[in-house]
Amino acid sequence: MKDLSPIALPELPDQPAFMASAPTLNVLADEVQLVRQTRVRIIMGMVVFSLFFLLLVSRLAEISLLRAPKTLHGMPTSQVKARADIVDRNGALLATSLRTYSLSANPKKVWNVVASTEAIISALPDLDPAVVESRLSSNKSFVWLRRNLTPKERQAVFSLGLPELEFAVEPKRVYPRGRLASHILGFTDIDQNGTAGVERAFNAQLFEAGGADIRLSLDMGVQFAVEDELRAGMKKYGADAGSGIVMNIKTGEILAMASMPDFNPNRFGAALPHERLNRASMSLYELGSTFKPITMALAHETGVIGHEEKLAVQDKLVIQSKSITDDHPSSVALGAYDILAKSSNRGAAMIALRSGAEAQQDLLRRLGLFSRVPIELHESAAPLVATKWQDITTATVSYGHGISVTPLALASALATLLNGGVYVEPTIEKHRIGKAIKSQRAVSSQTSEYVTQMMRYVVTDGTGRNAAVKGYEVMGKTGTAEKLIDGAYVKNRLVTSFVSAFPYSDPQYLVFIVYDEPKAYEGSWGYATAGWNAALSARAVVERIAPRLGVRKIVETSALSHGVAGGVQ
Amino acid sequence: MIGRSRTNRFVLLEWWRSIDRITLGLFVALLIFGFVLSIAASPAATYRLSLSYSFYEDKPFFFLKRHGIFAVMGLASAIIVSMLPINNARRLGVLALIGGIAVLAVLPELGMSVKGSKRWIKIGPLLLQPSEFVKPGLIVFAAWMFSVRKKHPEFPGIIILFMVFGVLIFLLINQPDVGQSILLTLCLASVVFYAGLPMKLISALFGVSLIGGILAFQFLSHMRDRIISFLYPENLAATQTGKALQTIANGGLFGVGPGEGRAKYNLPDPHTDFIFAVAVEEFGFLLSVGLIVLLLAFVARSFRNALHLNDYFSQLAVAGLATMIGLQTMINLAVNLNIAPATGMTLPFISYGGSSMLALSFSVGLILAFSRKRPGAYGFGVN
Repeated sequence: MKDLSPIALPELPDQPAFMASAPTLNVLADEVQLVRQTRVRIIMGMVVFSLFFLLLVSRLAEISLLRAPKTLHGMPTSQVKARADIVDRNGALLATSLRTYSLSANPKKVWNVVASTEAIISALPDLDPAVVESRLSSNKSFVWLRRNLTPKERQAVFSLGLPELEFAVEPKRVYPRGRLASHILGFTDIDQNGTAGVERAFNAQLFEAGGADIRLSLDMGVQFAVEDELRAGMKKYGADAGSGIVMNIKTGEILAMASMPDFNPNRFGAALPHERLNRASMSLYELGSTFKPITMALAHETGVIGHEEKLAVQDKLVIQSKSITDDHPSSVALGAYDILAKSSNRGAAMIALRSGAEAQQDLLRRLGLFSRVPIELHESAAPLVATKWQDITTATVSYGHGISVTPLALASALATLLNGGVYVEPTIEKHRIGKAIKSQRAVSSQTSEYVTQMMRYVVTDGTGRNAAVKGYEVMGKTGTAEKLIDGAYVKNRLVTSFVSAFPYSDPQYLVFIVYDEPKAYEGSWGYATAGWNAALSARAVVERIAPRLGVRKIVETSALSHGVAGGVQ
Repeated sequence: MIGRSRTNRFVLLEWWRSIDRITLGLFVALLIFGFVLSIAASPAATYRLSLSYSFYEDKPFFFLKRHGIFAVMGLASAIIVSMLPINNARRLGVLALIGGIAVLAVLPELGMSVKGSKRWIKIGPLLLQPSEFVKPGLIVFAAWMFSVRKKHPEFPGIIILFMVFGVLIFLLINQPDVGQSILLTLCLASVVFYAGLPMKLISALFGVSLIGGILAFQFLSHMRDRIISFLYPENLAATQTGKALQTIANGGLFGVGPGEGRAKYNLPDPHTDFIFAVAVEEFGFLLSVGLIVLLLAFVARSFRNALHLNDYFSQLAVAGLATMIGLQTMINLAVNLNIAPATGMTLPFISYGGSSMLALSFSVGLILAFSRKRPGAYGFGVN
């Protein structure tokens, strides 16, 4: 026999003719034939296999060696979101995020519940031992022990060296000034998502990676002055609520916006709903006579009253069987200036009726009083306007009844009248040089000048004398409205307001104060009207903020210092 | 001395002397490789599959433990099967086929439904997938039929074989399990090819399979969706294959290191279908090629044994079983590397899964049993 190597195929010997008849050998030859054929095919299979494996290995090389991962889609881990600070116009911190640590435990890793509890209590004495013990002996894998530890507390717990304790980084939103500007700032939920105020309005920007601080138009000093005066006024006048706004007339920047009662945003959960309400931009009031400067602007725009013309306000005025009365009744006919200075409802109504409903509505619309104030804050209420505008509506709206707007809406409308007639959208963001101020002309500059003069006259000779501040040429207008309770106006439940602006020579700032249901107090002679509360608060605010805002005080020169060069003006 | 070793008194010694120790060694090496990879894949699988994070924290090696148990069971069953005489091993293979068909037939009634298919049956604590055991059974049966046909040309072996195959395909498509059907068809095709049937007949069978494939594409919507999404991926990165590619790409030449893999946590089925991706991420290109070479070596060694066997039946059966393991390896790797659409095929000996592990170990046992050294088995006419 031939010596066959294991792989070599057995060769078929040519069959000699004499062996053809031997069946056993034939069977053997058949089997050999078959096995040989199968071997060829198995080798073919192996070749195909090898080719496929080569393909797979080269493909593997292509993916694992040549395709460097651009981004690794890894295991999602807990992400600590960074939230930018909120600062006032001068950079003073109003809201920030602190990196705190929250303590949790895995009870399955506890060796000795009693010993662990004792150790934890020694580090955090204010925890309840019974609660800690019950949590540590639960059969869960995760229990909270305490949220938001201070660094000192964390170090104390860390030093215990207990393996079951774990820390999670949890940022906490902190408002270092407490109640200051609480309604503007708003607050965030536990995940730092803004849910009210600036925190909500600028939520996306605050979360932007590497985002800069949000710089508000707010001036902390002005805000404090307004809040302080409102708080004092609320106490002195026994008001239910109050709100105050200080606005830059030229840029629309809100320097202060306060609402009383207020709350502490660090503990917003403890605040009551009526404390969280931002009355300055969310409460709708019939604000009364503070609307009259608008009617005066209407008069000038439409030219329905002559320069020297006097209206017969002493006579009864009945519209649609409703009689219109004055708080300070005049016995003689009054000109336009005195109608405003004496706050005559009849005079305002007559002017409005002469101008017509259409012109009046058009003006109100241009002053933004028919829509919500387009401020960045979500807390901005749309006004309540009569659906059927009758003659009586025209008459009452002229002195601020039959239309409910927010203090912010009226403040921006009045600022328009003092800003050369240009409506500026109020903003809570600090104005940046080069950024366009969103503005629109509402009335002519002549009308603006006319109303400005009239409002100065109200403070020098009219109902707003209590608001005068020496040296700052304050303009103003009072407003006292009876509240509508269940469809009827109630005599002793008032909403008083005062709009104040200064200086007359170049109106820059507007102060708007509103009190909800102030009462008469000792020394007010039984009055609870705007001149006895809102006007006084407005004066106090102007006195405090005018020097801070750099408005030059005009000191009347005495005869002695007259003509001295460089003397104080 | 020779005489002593030839006695049957020492069964284990006799087994050790006659067994192909290289095949056995490669098998054990693959099992160890699989166990090591399971250390990497188990935490990721537990993380993906457990309902709670705490379970993942408490038992990151839940799947590792079970994998270890299956591997030991597999090794034991392979050794037991390999001890059987060739005829008994063949009978066991055919028995597995019959049992598999019986269980497949009752699956629609008694099976467990997982992810929309009824493929599993619960026997005691074990979830078994009968289709895994049917594959080696059918290959052994086919080899047997062909060898009987050679001895008795009048015996209708081929017709019986194709009838059994038809029943199997019907039962599998019914589940539905297109991946296993394709693999089963390929396995049978390879045995038919090795058996030396005329090329004309093989071409005809190929045509029939093609028509079957087209029909499946037409009438099985989920299969159509899979193929279409493979050919025209809308968002590759979001699919499981896309995630597998990311995991593989993250590995590089040397891998990120054992236990350092991150992309694996993002991967569905990291312990079964996509364990190869996990291997590349942690151990790198070089070691992964080593794994492929090891698998290829196992298949090649079995082919070599098949080449050398003189017995027609053993030759066919060993070659067929080796083809099955090789095909399964290739399909799994091709899916991992985005060359083929996802099929749900495991990587032999490496992937986690009781049925797959036991069935493949059973196949290895059969290969070992058929390729044992015995008088006249190797080198035609030499002994």
